[in-house]
Amino acid sequence: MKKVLLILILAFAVVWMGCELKTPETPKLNLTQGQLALNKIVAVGNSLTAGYQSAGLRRDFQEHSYPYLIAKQLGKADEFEMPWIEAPGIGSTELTDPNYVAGPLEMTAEGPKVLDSTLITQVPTLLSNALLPRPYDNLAVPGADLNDALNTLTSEGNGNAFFDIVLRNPNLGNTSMIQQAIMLNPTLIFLWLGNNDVLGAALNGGDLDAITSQSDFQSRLNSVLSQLRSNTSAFIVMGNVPYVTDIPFVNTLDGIFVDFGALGKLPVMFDSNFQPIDFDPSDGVLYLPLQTAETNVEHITLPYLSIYSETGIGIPDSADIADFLQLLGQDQATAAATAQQLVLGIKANGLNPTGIPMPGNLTITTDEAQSIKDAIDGFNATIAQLAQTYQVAVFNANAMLTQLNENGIDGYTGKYVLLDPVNTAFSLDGVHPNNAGYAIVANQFIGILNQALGLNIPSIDTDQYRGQYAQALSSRKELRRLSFRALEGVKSIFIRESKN
Amino acid sequence: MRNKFLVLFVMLAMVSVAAAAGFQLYEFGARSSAMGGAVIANPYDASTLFYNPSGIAFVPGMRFYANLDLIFPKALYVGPEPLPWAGQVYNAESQVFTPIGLYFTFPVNERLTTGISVTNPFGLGLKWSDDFPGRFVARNTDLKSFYISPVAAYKLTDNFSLGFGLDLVIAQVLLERNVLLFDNRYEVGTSKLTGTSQLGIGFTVSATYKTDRFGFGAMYRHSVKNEFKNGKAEFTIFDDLSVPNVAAIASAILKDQNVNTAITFPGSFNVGVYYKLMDNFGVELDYNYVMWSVFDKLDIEFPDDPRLNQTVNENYQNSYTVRFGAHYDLNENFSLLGGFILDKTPQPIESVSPLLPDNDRTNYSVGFSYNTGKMQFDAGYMFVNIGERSTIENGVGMNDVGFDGTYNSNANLVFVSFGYTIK
Repeated sequence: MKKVLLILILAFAVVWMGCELKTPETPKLNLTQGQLALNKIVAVGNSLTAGYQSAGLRRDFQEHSYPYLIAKQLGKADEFEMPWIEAPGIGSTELTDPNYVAGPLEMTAEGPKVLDSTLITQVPTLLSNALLPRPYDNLAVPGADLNDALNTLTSEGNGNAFFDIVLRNPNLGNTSMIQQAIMLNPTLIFLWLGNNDVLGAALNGGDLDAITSQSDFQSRLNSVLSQLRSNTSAFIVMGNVPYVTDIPFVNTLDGIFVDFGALGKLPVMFDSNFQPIDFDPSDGVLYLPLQTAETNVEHITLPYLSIYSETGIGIPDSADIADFLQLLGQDQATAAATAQQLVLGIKANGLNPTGIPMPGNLTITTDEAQSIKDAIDGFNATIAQLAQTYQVAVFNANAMLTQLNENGIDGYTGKYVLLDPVNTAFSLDGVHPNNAGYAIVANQFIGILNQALGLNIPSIDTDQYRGQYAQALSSRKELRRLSFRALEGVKSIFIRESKN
Repeated sequence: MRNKFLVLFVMLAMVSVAAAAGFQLYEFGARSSAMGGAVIANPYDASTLFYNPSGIAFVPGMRFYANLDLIFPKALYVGPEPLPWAGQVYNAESQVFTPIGLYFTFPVNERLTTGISVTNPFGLGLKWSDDFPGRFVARNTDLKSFYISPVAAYKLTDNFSLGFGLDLVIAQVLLERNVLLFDNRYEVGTSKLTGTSQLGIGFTVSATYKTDRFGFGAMYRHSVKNEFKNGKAEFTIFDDLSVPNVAAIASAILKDQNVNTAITFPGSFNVGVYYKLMDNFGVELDYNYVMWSVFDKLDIEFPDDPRLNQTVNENYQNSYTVRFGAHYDLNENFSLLGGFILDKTPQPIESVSPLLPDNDRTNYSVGFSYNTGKMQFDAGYMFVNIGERSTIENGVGMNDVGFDGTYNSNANLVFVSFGYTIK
């Protein structure tokens, strides 16, 4: 009896000991690390990431934002939540009636125009995804700079409605763009900020006070990256800053500059093809310089087009022309007589020789252009350095724009729509890409993802976007009869008070 | 307006409840359990009140019988490649569960015997560590059931009896898990759901045919729906969130409140055949068919805020268990016991989760019984081999909420019983 019990207890002990759990073999999902990184995509940035086009944001533009295009390539468009703005959209052009918000620019036979607007009180009805109970996957706010990404929570005090539209505070707990990105625990972050730390300077004719200091840029970007790094395990791709002087808003009129030798390069009166007008009916050449308040002007910005054709500011009057002809060697009497004739000819062509010099906020001087480029070079050096520190991949947007301007990409160019109606990659505002331009940007990001994460995301066929404005432009009248007044107001959200 | 907006943040993964094969227990008498639970056809002691109530007509006298189980479940999880926790092993915390069986039989006359039992036929739980990557699915689960079952058995002939019983059921549930907000992306704290059900009522119908050497038993146990009204949902928000302002959102939406749900314990149909091969050696084969398909989904309702309501899919399948048991009597007082069980899981791969990683099981049991006629003492041991089960098939994650990996689990059971008979 005792024996039996003993055997039982012994057997029992042996069985029990043999019941330790074996560690199973590590299972494998049919996923690579790279595919895992695509699990949750979040984009932070400014207008370029929001999909801003033609001085406005509207669903069809947002659907061509590069993060959305990439999500679409991945078959994840349905789950990629955007702050949809339904037609007519919200633009940054200032209207004369302050109770209305302009829609984006449209290309018409009369020129780029705001065709539609919304009563301010009706704006909330355009926001079809406003009750999404979580932060948007595309958190980009047009007009946001690095400081905004870290600190700006609402539109209060900055006049930029997009902060409220995207960040939706206080409902999201008074959280910043970067914090909302963290709340989504992303596995992949598209980060493209910094353009607005310098863009305003270019749009406002070389306003150097609108450039963020290098030290502030460095510390703010450092803060953005350290917050994202320490609170997420995301793969991060960060875009750098293109030369904002190489965009149509700034360089479309570069072709009207003529080298007068000792007098330097001066902008001159131009025709409907943005070409200098030769006022000499005989074999010689005679170009008439435009009047500028600043000297050593290198660029004249796009809004000058409407001023040139409508008010005539910057167009020399007969005294200006006579002075200039004397500089060229004519005697006073001949110069005065010739000037009289030329002014008659100018007026006959519907232009108004006012003799009033164009103000400095329409012109960028050589020094201003250099300062802007220097600032961007500094920013990009900071981006490259911090990218290393924080193990971030860099999308070289600066090189992309240079390539677009020099050689074109996929047959597209960086020229303004009036110079290259079919193949332009820029939208009507001359600052932001159009559908094709954003597809080119998306392909650049896709290339980086494919290389860094060993993925095979197909590129977007950019051909499908060719000729976005072709129809309206086919009936285009000559330049002088086109209206460019709408362009004057497109920059409001990109130009803020001094950065320092 | 603000509150209305905030409430939308609560995400579906907040709570889920599940019962399972692993939540079903069948060990309510040490002698019966040591024989693998294959005792339907051969009533021996008062625990037949649980296994086959009609059998009490064949166990004479007024009987008390009490059983205690000590259950030591073990479970571990291994994360799959290429997830950040690939290859890491997480062990469930050691716990001991102690279901009981209490029995009393009272013969009214020659033919009619009555009895009552208290058992816990559905129970168990699993607790994982705070850093377990599946803590959003389940971190601590505990489900208990109390079946109070009055029974009457009537001998129609000397060899044949019928039994009818009621199951008066109360269940208790505890579910703890971590809470994610914002599309299930951001961990803000923990939720704890507790509740005691209202009284659920079921019944049993059973029959026994018994001769000296041969026995046949059958029982139908009806399912019991347990309604949890006014359960409590309590939330704890972490105080070290990476985005501190989220704490305010989280506490605004995750308010402690009442929660309602219902869990149906499945019904079963059980039959068994016993044959005494030798005067001191008998064997039995039983078959349980458990109608788990009643456990298809779980509706969790927040009466104060219906927008938080959710449905969790479980989609259990009906399943079966085959039990083989034997007793070998060394003398008139002392028997050696053994059993073997094949237990088919009702759990589809989609529902395999940290709540309960179930699998087809093979169980082995041994034990002994010492019976003086007046006093009975039984003890036994069972090893429940649940084994490895992965939610990954051919590299594809199958889990319903996307938490995939491989589990391995087993359980050690020790049971002791004491009986007293007044003839």
